[in-house]
Amino acid sequence: MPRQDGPDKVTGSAQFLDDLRFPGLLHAAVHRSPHAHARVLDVRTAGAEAVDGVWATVTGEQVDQRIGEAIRDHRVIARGKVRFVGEPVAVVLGRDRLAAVRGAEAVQVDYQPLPAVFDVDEAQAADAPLIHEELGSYAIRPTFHPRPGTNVYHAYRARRGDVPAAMAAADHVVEGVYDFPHIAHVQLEPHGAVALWRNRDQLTVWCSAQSPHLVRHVLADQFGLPLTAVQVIVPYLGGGFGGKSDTTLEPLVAAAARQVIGRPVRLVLSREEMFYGSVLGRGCRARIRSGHDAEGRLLAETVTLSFSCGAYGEYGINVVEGAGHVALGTYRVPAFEVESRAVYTNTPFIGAFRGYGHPEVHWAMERHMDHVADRLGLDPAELRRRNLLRTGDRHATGQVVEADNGDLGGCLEVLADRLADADLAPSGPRRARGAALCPLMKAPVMATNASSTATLRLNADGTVDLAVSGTEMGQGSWTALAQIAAEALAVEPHRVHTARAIDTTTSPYEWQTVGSTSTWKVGRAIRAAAEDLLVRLRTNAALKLRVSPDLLGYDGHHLWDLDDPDHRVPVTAVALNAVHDDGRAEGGPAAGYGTFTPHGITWPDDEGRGNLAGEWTVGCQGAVVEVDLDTGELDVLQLITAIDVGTVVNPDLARGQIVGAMVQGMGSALMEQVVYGADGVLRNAGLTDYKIPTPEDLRDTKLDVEFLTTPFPHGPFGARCLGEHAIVSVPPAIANAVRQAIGCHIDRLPLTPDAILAALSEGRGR
Amino acid sequence: MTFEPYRYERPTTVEEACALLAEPGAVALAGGTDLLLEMRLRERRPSLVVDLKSLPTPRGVAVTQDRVEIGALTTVTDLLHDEIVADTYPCLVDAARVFACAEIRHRATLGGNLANASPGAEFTVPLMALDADVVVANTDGVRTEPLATFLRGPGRTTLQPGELIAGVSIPLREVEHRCAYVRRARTRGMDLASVSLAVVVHGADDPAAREVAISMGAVAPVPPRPASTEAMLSGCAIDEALLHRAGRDLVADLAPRASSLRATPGYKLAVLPALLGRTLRGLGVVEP
Repeated sequence: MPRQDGPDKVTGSAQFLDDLRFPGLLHAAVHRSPHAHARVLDVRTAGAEAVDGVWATVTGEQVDQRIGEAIRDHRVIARGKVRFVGEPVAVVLGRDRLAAVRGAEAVQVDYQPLPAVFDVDEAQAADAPLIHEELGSYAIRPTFHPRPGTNVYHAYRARRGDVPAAMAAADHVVEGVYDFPHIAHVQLEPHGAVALWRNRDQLTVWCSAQSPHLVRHVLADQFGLPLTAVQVIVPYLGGGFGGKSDTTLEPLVAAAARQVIGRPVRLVLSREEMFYGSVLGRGCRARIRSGHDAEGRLLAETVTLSFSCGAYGEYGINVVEGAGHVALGTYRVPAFEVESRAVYTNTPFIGAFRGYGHPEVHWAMERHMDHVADRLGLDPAELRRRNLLRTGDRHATGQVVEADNGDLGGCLEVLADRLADADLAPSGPRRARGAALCPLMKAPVMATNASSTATLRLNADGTVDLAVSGTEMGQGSWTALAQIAAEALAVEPHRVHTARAIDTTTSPYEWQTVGSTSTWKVGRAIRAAAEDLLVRLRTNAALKLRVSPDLLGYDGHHLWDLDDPDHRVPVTAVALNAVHDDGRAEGGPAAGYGTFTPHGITWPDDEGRGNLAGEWTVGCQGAVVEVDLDTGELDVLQLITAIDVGTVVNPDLARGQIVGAMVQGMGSALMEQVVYGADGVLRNAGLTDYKIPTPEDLRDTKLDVEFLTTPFPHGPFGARCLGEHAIVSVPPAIANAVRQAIGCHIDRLPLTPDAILAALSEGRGR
Repeated sequence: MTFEPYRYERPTTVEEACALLAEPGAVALAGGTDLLLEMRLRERRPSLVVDLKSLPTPRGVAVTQDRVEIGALTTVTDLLHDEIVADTYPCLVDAARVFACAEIRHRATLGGNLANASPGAEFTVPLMALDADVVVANTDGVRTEPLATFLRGPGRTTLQPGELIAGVSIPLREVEHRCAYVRRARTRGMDLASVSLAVVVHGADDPAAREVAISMGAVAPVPPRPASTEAMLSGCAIDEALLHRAGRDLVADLAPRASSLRATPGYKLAVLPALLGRTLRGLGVVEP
C-alpha cells in the first residue's frame, strides 16, 4: 500500500511549520553565549531596543521557571551562569527577521569566564569545575539518583552475582574503552515553534515536535496553567530521529511570547543553529572488563558507561537509563556490575537519538567481543553463538527472555550464511576486504504508563476517519496505522484516512511518539477503537434488521442475519443510524475510541531490576567492507540486516525504515561527529564540515533486509517495533569488518580515512 | 535569510563594473555560491553587490595556437562538458567532476573559484601546475599575472578595489602532454577536498625531454609547487624506486595546519606520496 502522505510531500502541498502564515507575526532571534562556562554579570538590552523594528527583548531575569520533568535543572534563558557555547542569554523580538537578528547582535553581556570541562572523564575528576552547584536542590523524579557536589546527575546501577570471584575464576580477562562521539540528527526540517498568548492564561503553540501532548504537559507545568489552557498544534513534521521527541524550542518561544501577549512569535533555527540550539545525540565512553572461560563464555562483566550529557540533564537522563538496561548487549552474563552515568559537560545537551542508548552499548559491547575473539583466537560469530541470550535466560534487568521475544539465534544464523557467501577477494592491489556480523536487541525506554489512544469514525459513505496523536515524521506510521484500522474493521485500506495535523485540544491523547512504538501501541489502541466502533455498527444494523447484534454477519460492506443471509443491509446505510422505513432513526453514528497501555512495566528497584522493557526486537547485522591501504578510505560494499519484526504490516515501509536506519548508522560509522574547539566552540556547526551520507556514498553499497516473523503476541496482528533498530549494530559491524580486513582494532567512532590510516601506521591490533 | 540591505548593480561594461567595484564596501557577484553563504551567515555585509553576469567578458573556452583562454564567467558545468578543455587539459575536467554538486556546478564560476582563493580550491591546484596566468581587468585596461603570485593566501589575492577577474590563460605547448587532478574527501558526495594533487607531464613519451609539474591543495596557504620533486621526476625514466623517493621528497617541506577539520597533517603527508604514485602510473609514465 502506498504512503498516505506521499502525494502531499511529492507535490509540495504538505505544510510544515515554516509554511504556516500568521498575521501580526513577530520574529525571534537569540543572543547566544560565546563562553562554555561563565558567570553572567550583566545583560544590557538597551542597544537592541534601539534597533529599528525591535519590539521587545527578553532576558533570563524575566523568565522565572526552570523546566524539566525528570530533573528540573534548566532555565530556557540563562540567568546567573552560562554552561555551553550557544546557550540563549537573551531573545529579541522584531517585526522581521532582520530586525530581530540585528537586535540580538546589539545585546551586550558582561561575563566572568569560569573553567570549563568537555571530556566526560575530566568532568568526573575530583577537582572538576562544577557545572551545577545547585544539583542537590533540583526537583527530581523518583528512581533518579543525582550526586550533588559532582557533575554526575544520575547513575543507573544493576548487579548480579559475585563479580570478583567470577573474574578470579576466569581463564581470560579482557578490558577496553569505547567511544561514541556527539552526533547531530540533521533532520531535513529545522526545529521551529510559533507561540501565541491569546491572553495571560491561553497559550497556543505550533511546533515541529514529535510528541505534542508532552509539549503541552511541559508548557502547562512551566506556566502553571491547566492543560486545557495550552493548545499544541503539530503540522507535517520533516524528520525527527528523536531530536524532536521532547521539547526543544517551545518553552523558550512561549516564554518570549509572553512578553507580547496577542502577537504570535516565531523562531525557526538556521541549519547552523540546529547544532547548538536544540539537542545533540550520543556521546558515550564505555569501559568494559569481561572474564571468560577457555571457550570464551562470559563469566563476569563490569560495564561503566559515562555519558557526556552536556549542560542540562532533562533530555539525556532517560537515554542514560535505557543504555544501562541493555548494557550487557545480547549476551548471557552470570555475574555483572553495570553503572550508567549521566554527566554534565560544558557542551550543548544531548537527547534522544534513534536507538536511544542501544547504539552506544552495542558499539562498545560488539567492539569488545571482537577484541575477545581476537585475543582468544576464536571465530567472532562462534564467540557470539556461545554467549547469545536464549529463551529462559535473564536480561540484566532480571526479565526473562521469552520465546516470543523473537529469534535472536535465527537472525545470527541468517547473517552467518549470508556472509559465508560474501566475495572477500579485494578489487585491486593495496586493498583489503573483510566481513563481520553483530547481533542487536532493542527495547523502548518508556514511562510505566505510556498510553496511546485512537478514535475511528465511520462515515456515511463507508470511509473511515482515523485520528491519533502519534506523529508522522517520515516513518510511515499514518499509512501503517491506517492499514491496521482497515484490517481491524475489515475494510479496504484506501477507505481509511489518517488525520493530518495534530491538535492537542481535539486529537486523542498520546504519551510520546518515541521508541519505535507507534505501530505497536497506537496500533493496539486502534484495534480497541475498531472493536468499539463495530459494536455501534452492529447495534445500528441489529436495530435496522431487527436481529440480535451477535447473530449478525459482517464483511466490511454488509451486515446480515446469519440465519438468513439475504436479510442484509449495506454498511453505508447504518454507518450513522438505523433509519426505519418510516424515517424514524435509532442508534447513533458508528465511532470508536480505543486505548492501550502496556501494563506491567515497573520502575527499577535498588539493584536495577524490574519489568523495565515492554517489548524487545532482536536482529543481527553484517557488513562487507573494502579498505584502501594507502589512503585509509573505506568502502562499505554491503550492509545486511536480519530482524525479527513479527508480522510485517507494510513491507515497503518496513524495508524503508530498515534501510534508512542502516544508512544513518553508516553515517555514525564513517563520518559523523561533532567537533569542539579547546574553548568549547562547536567547530562544525553546519553541513560544510558535518558530513552525513548522501546517495553518492551509497552508489556501491548493497543494502539487504531479511525479515523473520515470530509473531509478537502483544502487538497488533503480531507486529513488533522496528523503526530505530537497524541503526543499532551497523557501526560495530563495519568496524569489526575493518578489523577483519586490516587486522586493526578501532575503538573510537567515526572510522574516518584518517583514523584507519593512523591505525594502520601504528600497527594496532595483531 | 538575514541579509543586510545592500545596493545591487548589474553593469553591462567592464569599465562600469570596475568603477563600481572601486566603491567602498563593494563586492563582485558571479555564481554567488560562496558570497551568498557568507552574507547569510553575516560574515560579509557588503553595501554594494556588483553582479558581473551581464558583462561582455566571454563565458566559455577558446584555444589559440599557444594558449587556452577561459572566461571568468565560465561555470563549472561548462568546464565539465567543454570539448576544448577535455582535449587539452582534462585535469580541469577532473576538477569539475568532483566540484561540489550539480546544483552548485551550474552556478559556480571559474573566476569565483580563483577569487575565493581557498587553499584547497578545486581549480587553483591544477591551474598552478599548468602555469596559468590570471587576466585581471581594471579601469586602466587589463593586466596579466601568474596565478602563483596572484594567490596570496586563504581568501586573499592581489585583486585590488576596482579590479575584476576577466579570465584565465593557460600556455599550450607543442609537446604532447598528459595531466590529472585527484583529491581525497570525507565523503563521495559533496565535500571540500581534504587534500588534492595535480600532475602535468609535458613530453610524456620521451623521458629525456619530459617535464613534470606538480601542485598540491589543502596543504599550505597557497597550493605549492614542489620544485625539487618536479626536478627529480623530470628528464628521466621513472621507476618505482624513483617514485618512492619522489613521494618522500614531495611532502618533505610541507607543514599543513593542524586545525583542519577535513584531515590531519599526518594524513595529508601519508596520502600525498601514494596519490603521486597512482597518478603517475595512471598517466602511463612509470616504467613497469
